[in-house]
Amino acid sequence: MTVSEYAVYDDGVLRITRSGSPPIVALAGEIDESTYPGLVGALETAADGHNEIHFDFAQVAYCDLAGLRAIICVTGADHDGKGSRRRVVLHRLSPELETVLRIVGWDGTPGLALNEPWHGDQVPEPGRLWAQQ
Amino acid sequence: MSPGTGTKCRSLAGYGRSNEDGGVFMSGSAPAFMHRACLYGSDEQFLAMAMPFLDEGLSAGEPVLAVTTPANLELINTALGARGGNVDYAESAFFGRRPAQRVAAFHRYWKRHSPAGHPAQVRIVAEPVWAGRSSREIAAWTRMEAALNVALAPTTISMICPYDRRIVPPAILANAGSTHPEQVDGARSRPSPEYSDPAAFAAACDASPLPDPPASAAELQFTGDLRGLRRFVARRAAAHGLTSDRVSMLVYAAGEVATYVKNQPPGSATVRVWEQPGAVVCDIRQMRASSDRDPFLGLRPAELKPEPGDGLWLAGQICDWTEIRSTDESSVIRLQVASRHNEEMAQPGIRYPI
Repeated sequence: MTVSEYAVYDDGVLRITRSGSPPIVALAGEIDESTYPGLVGALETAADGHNEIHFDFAQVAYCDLAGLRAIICVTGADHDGKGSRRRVVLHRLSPELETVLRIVGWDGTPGLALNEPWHGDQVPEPGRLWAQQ
Repeated sequence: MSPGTGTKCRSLAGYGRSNEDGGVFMSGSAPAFMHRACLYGSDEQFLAMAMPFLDEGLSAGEPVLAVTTPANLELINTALGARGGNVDYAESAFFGRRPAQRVAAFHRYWKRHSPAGHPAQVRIVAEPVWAGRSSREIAAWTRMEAALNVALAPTTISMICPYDRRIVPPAILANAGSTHPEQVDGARSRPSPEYSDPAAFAAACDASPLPDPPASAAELQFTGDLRGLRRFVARRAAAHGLTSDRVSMLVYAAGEVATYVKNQPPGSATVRVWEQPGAVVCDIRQMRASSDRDPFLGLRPAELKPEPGDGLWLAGQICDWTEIRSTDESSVIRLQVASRHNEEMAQPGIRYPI
């Protein structure tokens, strides 16, 4: 099925789209200091009111530590160890970005899951998301 | 020496706060990072230090880690008998290949045993490898010994670093007194009179300048365009034959360093990439940068709470070498990874640094 999708951020370097419920946030492009404010704004919008959120990294060419941290912190785990408030699932991280995540040790953040199978109605449109694999 | 109550009492006498020799460790005292050197000259002297230390930890149910030579691990296992099964262990050469990864490995061990908000008392015997090292490596590992006093200060690790007087050169033995606040002999510890301020010690280690980049190095003027910098580093690393996964990792390291540099006045830098025997090097050089940088920036592991050195820490984890030199004229951060000629990288199951 096709789910409605709309861009929540697009500056030509980073494009963020959101669809479905629980929301799937597809990130495409590069995340660094210059796109960080856009990312943080989009995260707030996308996560608001949801206790579970999925991120598709299939088209992320680069994501720096600050960007990765902002996404991990959508779990709420940064609030003085008071535990997680939201479940965050990261899909299709590149092996290198997953290595970065494991080196930093954030892969063990409460509430975070990596590379879970998609739910039935979450399967992304192959033509768009698999194109650059 | 047999494990049991008698041993525990004897070791407590050696390590108690009230001990006249200045030992400070005892269960119940305020936990803090403790860093002691032990210069031993025989297997017996090694065991006289290691056994009470490890045995006391095992009796208290504390996590206990022995990082030392295979020969010393065997001594420990033989001496502990069945209780040795509760000792976590690692061969020194494989527990953090470079100093940056070694610090992270210690921290990781402590953190794994310290659930949120509950720092655990953890004991580590940590013997660095000194034999066969280059002078550059000896300097880096000696610097790390000083840096541990700062990097692990927020932890509750109790650490003893054994130095084997039979094989370790006198100059390295002498530095052990400067880099450890205390020294241990058997179960007795005493303050180290030679102990130096870690920052001053590290500054002395950093006094020698890095070799100049070769004239043939590819060059980019970085004025804040992080994407452009990443493309430059990726192109050059690929041109020097690194595989795409290793190119990506070097780009992660260089990208973090550039983000740091961008926020240090003047914010611009000259970036050079070259290949030298055994290595691909990326050198990021700022002119007229401030030289009063924290010498231990990037040594503490990144956490979810952001700190200025986080990106440098990640670079240190990824790269074979991350060297920083600051003078009044310039500030250099130099990253080095193994070249395509490194056959270790051709083996399955390689680990970082890349």
